[in-house]
Order: sequence, then structure tokens, then C-alpha cells
Amino acid sequence: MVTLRENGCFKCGACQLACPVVSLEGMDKFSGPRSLAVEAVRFGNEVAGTREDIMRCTACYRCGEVCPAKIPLPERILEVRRRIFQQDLALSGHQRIIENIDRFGRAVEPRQDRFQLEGDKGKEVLYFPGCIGELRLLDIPRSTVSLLSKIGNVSTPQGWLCCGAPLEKLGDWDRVKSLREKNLRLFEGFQAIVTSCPGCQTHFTQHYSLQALNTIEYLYEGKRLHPRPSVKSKKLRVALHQPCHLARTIGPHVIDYAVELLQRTAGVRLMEMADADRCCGGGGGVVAGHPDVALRLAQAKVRSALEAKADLLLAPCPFCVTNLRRAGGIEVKDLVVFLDENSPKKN
Amino acid sequence: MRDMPAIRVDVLVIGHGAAGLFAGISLGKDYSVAVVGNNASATSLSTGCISMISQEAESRSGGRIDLESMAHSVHPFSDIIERSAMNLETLLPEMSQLLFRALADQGLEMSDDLFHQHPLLTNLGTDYNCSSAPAHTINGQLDKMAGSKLAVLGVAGGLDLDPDLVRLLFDGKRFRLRTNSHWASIKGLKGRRNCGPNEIAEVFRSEEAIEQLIGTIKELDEENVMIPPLFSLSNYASGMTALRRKSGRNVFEAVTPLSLPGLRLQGAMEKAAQAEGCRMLKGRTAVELQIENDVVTGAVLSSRTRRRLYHFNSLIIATGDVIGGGLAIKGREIVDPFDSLKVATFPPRSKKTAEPGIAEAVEETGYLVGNDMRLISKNGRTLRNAFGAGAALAGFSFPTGVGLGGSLLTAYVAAKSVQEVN
Amino acid sequence: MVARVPVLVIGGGVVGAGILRDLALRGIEAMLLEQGDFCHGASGGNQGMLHSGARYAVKDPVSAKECAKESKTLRSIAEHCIDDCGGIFVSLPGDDPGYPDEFLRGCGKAGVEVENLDIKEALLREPGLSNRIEHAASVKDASVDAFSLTLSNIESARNAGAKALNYQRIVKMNRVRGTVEEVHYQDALSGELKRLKPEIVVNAAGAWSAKIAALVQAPLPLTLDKGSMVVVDGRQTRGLINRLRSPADGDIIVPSHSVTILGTTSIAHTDPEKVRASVAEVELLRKECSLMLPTLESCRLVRAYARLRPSAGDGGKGRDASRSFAIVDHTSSGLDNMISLVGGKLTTYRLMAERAVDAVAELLGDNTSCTTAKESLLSSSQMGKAGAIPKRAMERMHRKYGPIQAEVASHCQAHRGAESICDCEEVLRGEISYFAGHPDVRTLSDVMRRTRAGMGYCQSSLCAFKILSAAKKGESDQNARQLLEDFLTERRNGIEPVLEGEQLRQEIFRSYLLQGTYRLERGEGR
Repeated sequence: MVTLRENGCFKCGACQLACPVVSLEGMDKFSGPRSLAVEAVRFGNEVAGTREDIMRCTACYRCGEVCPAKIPLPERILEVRRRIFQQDLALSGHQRIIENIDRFGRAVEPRQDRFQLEGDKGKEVLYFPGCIGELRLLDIPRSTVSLLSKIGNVSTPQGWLCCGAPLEKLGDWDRVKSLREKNLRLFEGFQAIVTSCPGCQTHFTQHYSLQALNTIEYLYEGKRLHPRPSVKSKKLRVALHQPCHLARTIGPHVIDYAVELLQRTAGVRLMEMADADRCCGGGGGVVAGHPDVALRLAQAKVRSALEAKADLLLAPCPFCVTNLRRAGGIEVKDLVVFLDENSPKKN
Repeated sequence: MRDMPAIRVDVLVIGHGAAGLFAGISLGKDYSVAVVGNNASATSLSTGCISMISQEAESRSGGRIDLESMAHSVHPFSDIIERSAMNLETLLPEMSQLLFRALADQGLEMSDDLFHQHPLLTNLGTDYNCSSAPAHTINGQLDKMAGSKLAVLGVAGGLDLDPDLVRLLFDGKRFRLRTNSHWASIKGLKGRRNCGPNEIAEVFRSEEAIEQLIGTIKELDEENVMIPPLFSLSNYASGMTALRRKSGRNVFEAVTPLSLPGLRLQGAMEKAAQAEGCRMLKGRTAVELQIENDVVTGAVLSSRTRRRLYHFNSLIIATGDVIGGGLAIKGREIVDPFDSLKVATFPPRSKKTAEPGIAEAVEETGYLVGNDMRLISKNGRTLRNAFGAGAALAGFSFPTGVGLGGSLLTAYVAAKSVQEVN
Repeated sequence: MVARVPVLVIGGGVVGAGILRDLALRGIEAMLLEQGDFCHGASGGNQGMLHSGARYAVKDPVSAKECAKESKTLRSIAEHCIDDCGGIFVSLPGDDPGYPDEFLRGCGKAGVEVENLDIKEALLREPGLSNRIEHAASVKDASVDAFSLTLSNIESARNAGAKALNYQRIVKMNRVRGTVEEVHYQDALSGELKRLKPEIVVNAAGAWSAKIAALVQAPLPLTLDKGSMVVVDGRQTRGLINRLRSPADGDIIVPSHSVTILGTTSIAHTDPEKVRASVAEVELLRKECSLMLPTLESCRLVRAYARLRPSAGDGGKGRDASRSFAIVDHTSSGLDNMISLVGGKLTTYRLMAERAVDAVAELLGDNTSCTTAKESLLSSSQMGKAGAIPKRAMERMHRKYGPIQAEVASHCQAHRGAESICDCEEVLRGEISYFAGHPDVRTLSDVMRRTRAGMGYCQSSLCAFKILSAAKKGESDQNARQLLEDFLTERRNGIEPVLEGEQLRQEIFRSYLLQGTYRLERGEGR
């Protein structure tokens, strides 16, 4: 039973109108934030019936933003997921994530190739690669470290575990808490935490009470991107996807920084993409739980990028990159990888 | 929460609904303007119609809306106009010209008659008087259709327009319109039941769906066809043009709040503001006003993990009423979330009697302004560089879309006042 | 020719309905007339408690005993109307320290099952409880839907051959010497006048029973006492919560469907037509109940309502009056064919009906015995096919519709039948269209009461239009608009006393939409 203290809902429907999953899937398949977070929960013990439905939410945070009564809808949806999980009803794709956490301390199963940061360079900057960076999209942490190393002492503590964000999305709070406890001990003593994954950064900010920065903030605010990158070939037409777990949970300033960094990159033409802030489908555990939904959202994003006449779609988030690539049709790259690839190398 | 370095602009507009954006549109060319909003706006929930006055004022003026009656007898415009040195006769045409150009450039159709009362049909079948019909919500007026036939065409699976309901409620006798209800089946919506406006808009992004609808319309024998809102801003102009041209009928959208028309108006105004040079700062909330000696020296904006102080020469507050989220409700009181400005609130309630007319009572609540739309501080002093606009003002808290014109007028006057000071 | 009927029952609340059913099952032909929709009176505005009897264990042991027995009976015959969520009694600092022992003793004597709970257990069961509670006890209270119960009784009665009509006002009763000879009644909506000749009249008109008796010059001393309740959005508790003290105001919290009902008060009253909850009562209820459940302080209040408890003559004031009931024959005023019922409570309606029908049977010289305690109200427990209907909606339909659930569900399988009409209460179009065709259903409020459409926290906003559309009533444009406005006026009842904070903002928005954009007028409300 979810007690509904802040329930200022007056049925305006702004949340349903803003929800990317509702517009693509329809309310018969995904009843939407108002139904899941406000209407249905009032009946007490019936959250179990919402399982299939509620796992289609990508946790994009748009509903909470547009609600005129400022109801914390995204947090509510995650709270309902927590209750469902307590009744032992995880989807099969989600079971796999839990097994991976228990066996490897990672959201995905390790393969041969693993990113590793060499050496322990003291406790100035903790770089947190995240599960996807370490095990799947290794170019992201490699590029990040390459750019950060020009700056100073960066290290990653041994024995780090998944930040816990995917578990939060599944509703598994026991694991969220135990992962947090273990990680916090390893993080002690570091002066700054930088990560290339917005999911990790959001989770650190909201649930670890840490001021973690993402690479873009770290580079921009410290004026650390020297010399400026430049694209070798002709005018490259680039579209920028705005990850939900940056713009809406860390702040719109990150997108402003990303735009400026791109504008300062010679040879880049930043194209105006419609719905740049619309969710790509990569979050909320939907890729694991309802992969078809995640794919359709990614396809819609790729369509927008192509309509904007872009050659390259940049997304500063490993989950976005992974899901967008599933749609095909356009080259997709992480922003920091792009900046590093086009930065002059020191010999 | 980290602080970012302070920034200076000429004009800071807090609130990105119709009033705030129009203030930006009016000032953007000549000043550095930043428009701030938290992504929730009542404008995006409105009917998208720009109507000039409230119901009460309308009945007081005997249904006549023209410059003269507006200037002299229609509250609250008369107040504003009296207190400012401005001339309504030049102001209104100037304002409408700017408005129409700005919105037409962004793909909305605008009718050229701001002051005439048009009865409109709503998606739920009542009739509704709107004094300005930006044609993106309705094309044609009921009196022009008089004596002819009207087809009300719903889209199967869509909830927004129920033709049978329109027939039940619409007073066709009064307008001499013979109404018939029809349903269109669209392949992209096959098997769907509870489709809201944005699901419909997704389907109608495709040529196929539009062509199918055209085919259905051509099979009707009524000259006028009322449809639900089908298009988002991106293909509204092209979609409606195609429907009309290829079917040869007078196709128009029903008026409907909480749907696409409000979102379209919001989107169009944001783009127009940017086209005029405004910086849009969305996803931020203004949390504090710094006031010293009747001058607002700064405003603190906050977003998730960052705060930033903004300095400016002039400030316009267009944060909306309790629906838009600008004014707050505490118990039965309307309060200023900044706790800095003077607010008119509900009269104290008697514990015994019931109170009718809540809508009328709310209209009177909001920020109080002095001459030239200048805001008044909590302790009664008129602020020199801060102006109010829109539904946040006492007397301007109008229902969804009714009175948007009034909001725009206050924004235009506020913008003019800013120009005079700077 | 004026129609004749052996028994006329006046009053279509749960007691009248129970009487009709009992008569019908005994093979006695009967007709029921109700002035508004069924449950117009107290049955339509109570707290929905199926009393274990614990609450009366100390002050009113007769009631306690009756409740203990009857609540068991109702669980077996009306399972679908009952949400068997259990209840606890809790005391707070400052409450009479001797009461808990008296309470346990009283329960024992009255046969009310009770179990002492230690504080830890109580808090586990009800996590929202105040941590200041001193004593706790667990009882077999439950939440009951009085409307569903009443309609199920009427359905059962009709199946056994009885007739029942709503919206019929008694306008005249002709008394000839010691007999009520002819009854004139009028359709409240159409104005049509009708007559009938009853052999026996059963006056089960609740708060109006004195007015009915007065029509035949039979005095019926009645004390009217107003009880107000407040509806809180969302189920805030698992089961009922009662204050463990001598009954007072603000003692009870009852979860019901998707809301929580706080109650109640006790104020002397005179006129059954103007019964409203006041702002002062709402504030008192929130304050008192919050002492037991602190989260209530910041919960959203959706509505307040009030009804009258009629009790016999000067048999004690207000709260102290026995909740037990009285069957009054009017032989002392020379009337030989009318009996009136006074008092009673929801939980013991069946027993009250049984006694009343025993008295009627005696007058008729009939000695068939009562079977209402044994025959279930659910003719079959089979639920309809789900198909496209979400499982949750099927469950809810079972609770609302009981014996007719399968028929209603089949309407939801038809074209557009599974469309959502009321999002708050998850009511589907087929449910609306089923009832729209029912002869009892003549206004949109009648649809609402049966389906719960429009009873959520928004108290019906744009769904009012959807209800109208699904009901397909009011073919001419005048009529449709009137139906809608009447419905919106009814929904306005009980809003004023809770008009603040979030509910106020919602009301502003609703006014904007309904009056501002759609130009629908809403009346003052009751």
C-alpha cells in the first residue's frame, strides 16, 4: 500500500501527454504515469496487477517535470515497482540482471574484454566506469580517461560494484542498499567522483548523497578540454540526443555544456533535431524487460535524427548508445568518445 | 547543489506560458532576454484559442467586443489601460500584428480578426464563444456555416472526439446546422481502444493515415467536417492543408483543451521567442527574488543540482495561476511562492455557508500590480523594475484558453513598460 | 381499477430491501416504493462498517450481540459486498485507562471475538498507526458496501417475484377508520401519479418514517441525529481502526474501495431534507482521526457527507440511544394494517427485516419461516469471461455487481465495451451501457452509484461526458445537457466543506473546464 500524501492530481493529463511510451505504445499497453502512480495505487493491494504494464516505463522523468501539481510521479512509479518486487514478481529479463549482480557484481555478464584503469594514482579523482563502460562499450572509459589523464590523478578503486541503479529500476531495494554500502566504503577519501554514465551519476546523486560529476561537466567547468577538438574531414552533420538521466535528473546545464563543446569543435555542424529530449528507450530496465518497446523508441529517435539530416547521432550515455544502435540506420556514438577521437594526440 | 557563476541579462522573464513567451517575443529583438520555465505550463493544457475576455466581462459588455467597449467598460482591461499612459487603439492592432506574424511563421494558421466573437464547437459538443480564432483550432465560424450540413467525424479508437456525444449536446437548431455523426477507421489505429491525443498524433505523422482520412472525408456528403485534433506542431500546417485541399471540404478541428492545440501553441510560441533571439531556459525554477529598496536586484534559478543567480535590468513575472503552478495554495489562501510580492487572495470563508462561483472568486486572486503593470512588494511598495503579466495577476486568472488574449495583452503592456524604462 | 398488493414496503434503503427480499422468499407478494434512488437515506451515506459488535460491547450489549451474530451471517450470504479486512481498536494517552478491561469483558459477554494485541503487533499490522498508542485489540470488523448490498437484496427479491420502484414519492395515504386503504404516489422525475391498494404497509422510510406515519395520523416519535463523514483519497489502512474508548466523535477509520472514510459525529437535527456536513465537523474528524493515524493530517480530503440516524422517540439522546431497533405497530392509534420500523444499523438490517416480516406474516396469518440467513445473495459465484478486460477490472466488477457480474462483463466484451470511462475507478464503457438500459436507471447519478464511475478523487471531471455518451441517454439536446448538469450538481454535494489545498485547486480547474470552456452550469449542490 502506497500512502498518497502528495496527491495534487487534478486530471489535467499533462503527464500522459508527455510520456513517450504512452504515445508510441498506447494506453491499452502502457496505462501511463497517472494511472500507475496515482489512480491504481489507491486500491491498496492490487499493485501486483500492474506488473507487465509498469515495467514499460523507461524512467525518463518527463512526467514529473510537466506535472503542474508537482507530484513526484517518477519516484512514485519506482516505489510501486518496489512493492511489486517484494511480492516476488520479477520479469525474466530482470532475473538475469539480478543473477549477474550476485555472481559478478555487474549488471551484465563479463566477457574477455574488460576496461581496467592501470595503477593507483592516489585519491584525487575517482573515475567510475560503470558496468556498461567496463564490459561493453570500452571506448567510452578509454576516451574519458584519455581526456581526464591530461589533467591529473585519476584512479578507480579496486573491487567496485555496480552502482545499483538498475536494481532501483527493478525495485530490488535490498540489493540497492548492499551495493551502496560496499561502494561507499571504497569511495572514502576521494576528492571528486567522475563518471561517464548518467545512470550512475544520477544514482550517486539521489541515493548515495554524493556530488558526482559526469565527464562533460568535469571537462567543461574545469575548462579542461585543451586543445579544442576538430573534425578532420568536411563539415560533419551531427545531432545531439539529450539523455533523460542528464537533462532531467542532473540538470539542463549539462546539455548546454555539451552543445557548447560541440559548437567549439571545428568542422562540426550541429543539426536541429526535433524531440531531442525525448527518451530513446534505454532506461528503466525496459531493454531487459520489454526489448520490443525499447526498440520502437530507439527507432523513433533515429527517424528524428535522419529527418534532421544528421550523419552522426551523438548520445552522452552508454545506455542510450547501446539502445540506439539496436535500431540501426545511423552511426551512433558517445559524445566523449567523439571529442577524444577528434582531439589532437600528444606524442 | 552547486552554484554556477552569476549571469547578467537585460530582461529576465520568469514563466514560459503564453504571457511570458509573448513578453519575450516583444522584447527579444532589442534586448538580451532569457525566458525561464519549469516545463509545466497551463498554456500547453489550454484550448489554444486566444480569447480576449472572461465570461463575466463578456456578459457585462452585452456580447459586443470591439475596441471601444473593451477600453471603457470591460474589466480588467480598463484598469490597466487607465493606469498606464497607453492608447488601446494603437496598442491592440500593434499587438495582434506582432502575435500573428510570430505564430504564423511557426506554422499556425491565424485568422485576421482578433475582435469579433466567434462561436465555436468544442470536441464534447457544446458551443463556446471565442473572440479570436487562431485558425489552427478552428477554421470557419458557426454563423458562416449556417444553413448547411455538418459532419462530426471521430477516429475509431480515439477518445478525443465522440461524434454521438457532439450530436447529443450541440444545439444545432440555434445555428441552423444539420449535424450527422461518423467514424473513420484508420489502419494505424486498428485494435486500439483508449488512444489519447499524442498516440493519435504519432499515427497521423504518416502519409498513409492522412490519405486514409481524406478518403473517408470524400465519401461524406456534408460540406463542413469537424475532426478531432490530429496533428502536432511538426505537421499541423501540412496535414490540415492536405485534408482540406484534397477533400474539397471545410475541415476544421474541434476546440479542445488538454490536448494537441495547447501543446501546439506552446511549441509555436517557444520557437517564436527563440526566433526573436530569446534564450529559453527550460527545466529551471525561480526560487528566490532579491529585493533592495524597491528594486529587484536578482533572481536565483535552480535546477536539480545547480543554482545560479541572474542579474537584470528588468524582470517580468509571468508564472501563471494555481493551475500553471506559479501561485500556490496553502489551505484556502493563495500565496506567493517567492514570499516577496503582494497577492490578492480569497475572501475569508464563513464556516457555515457554502460558496458558489469558485471560478469567479479565483479570477480575482493573484499578484497585484500598479501603474504600467509594476509588481508590488509584500510590504506594499511598488517595485521599479519588476512587472507582472498573465494569469498570475489578480483579475486575469481565466479558464483554459478563455482570456489568453487578456494574458497576452498584459504581457505586451509589461514589455512596453520595460522598453520605456530601458 | 386500482392495483392491489398484499404488502407495500415504503423505503428503499437496506432495511426496506431486506424486508422485500424476506417477503419474496417467503412467497408473499410485495411491492417497494422508494422516493429517490435506492439508498437515498442513511443507507447511502454511512461509514460502511460491518460491525463485529466490539464498539457496542460496553455501552449497548444488546446491539453488540446482534452485530456479532449478524456479521457472521452476512459474511456467508453477501461475500461480494464485504471487504473482510479486519479491524483493530487502539487507545491513546489520555483515554480512560479502565476502558480496555471493560471492553474485553463486554466483548466476552456479548460473544464478540476479540484478541489483545501488543503494540508491536499492532504497528506491524497497521504501519501508519501512531506510535503513541497504549492498548490495542484485534476484532473481526469489516468494510461493507451498503449500496451493493441493498441492490443485491432487491435483485434477489425481484428474482423471487417482488416489485420495486425507485423515484416514487408517497404523496397521499387514505385512511379509512383503522385501515390504510389507498396509497397515492408520484414519479419524482416524470410527475406521473399512480395509486395502489395495499393490504399491509411496512413503513421502512428511515428518517422520513415520521412524515409517512403522519400521512395517516399515526404519531411516530422519532429522534433524528446527524452523523457526518469525510472521504480521504486512497486506502490509508489495511483494515478498520477504532478508538478504544467510550464512543465519541472521530473514533472510526474505515477503508472502502479506493478511499478511506473518517467518521463520525452526532448532532441533533430536525429536517431530513437539508443534511450537510459542516466545515467544523470535517476539521474535527480529521483532527481526531489523525491522532490514531498521523498521516491523515496531510492526506487529501475529497468529499464530506452526512445522513440522519433515526431512533425511537425519546429513548435516550444521540450517541446513547440504543442502536437496536424497534418494530412499532400503530394499534395504539387505531391503525391495524401498518407497521413502522425505527432505528437499527446496517449490520443488523437482515435481522430487523426478519422481525418486521414476522410481524407482517402474523398479520396475514402466514407462518412460512425466514430463509434470508441461509440463502446466499450470490445466485452463482461464477465470474464472467475476462477477454479484453483487465483482471483488476473483473475483480472490481465482482465486488460491485455480485450476482449480475457475468452479464455486465459480457457488455464489456461488445464493441467499444472495454473503453475506459472513469480512470479513477477503472470503470469500463460496457458497465455504463449495461446499467443505462436498466429501468431503475434514470439519471447519470444512478449510473454513478451502481458503477462507481465519477466517485474517485476528481469527483467526475471530463468523464461526466463519457458517462453521458456511454449511457446514450437524453436523445434530445435539451435533455442531455440537463442530465449532465444535474449530475455535476450532485457531484458538487459535499465539496464545499473540504475545499482547500489540493482539492481546491482541482475544483478551480474543474470550474475552468466545465463552466469556462464547456459552458455547463453547476448548481449549488446539496
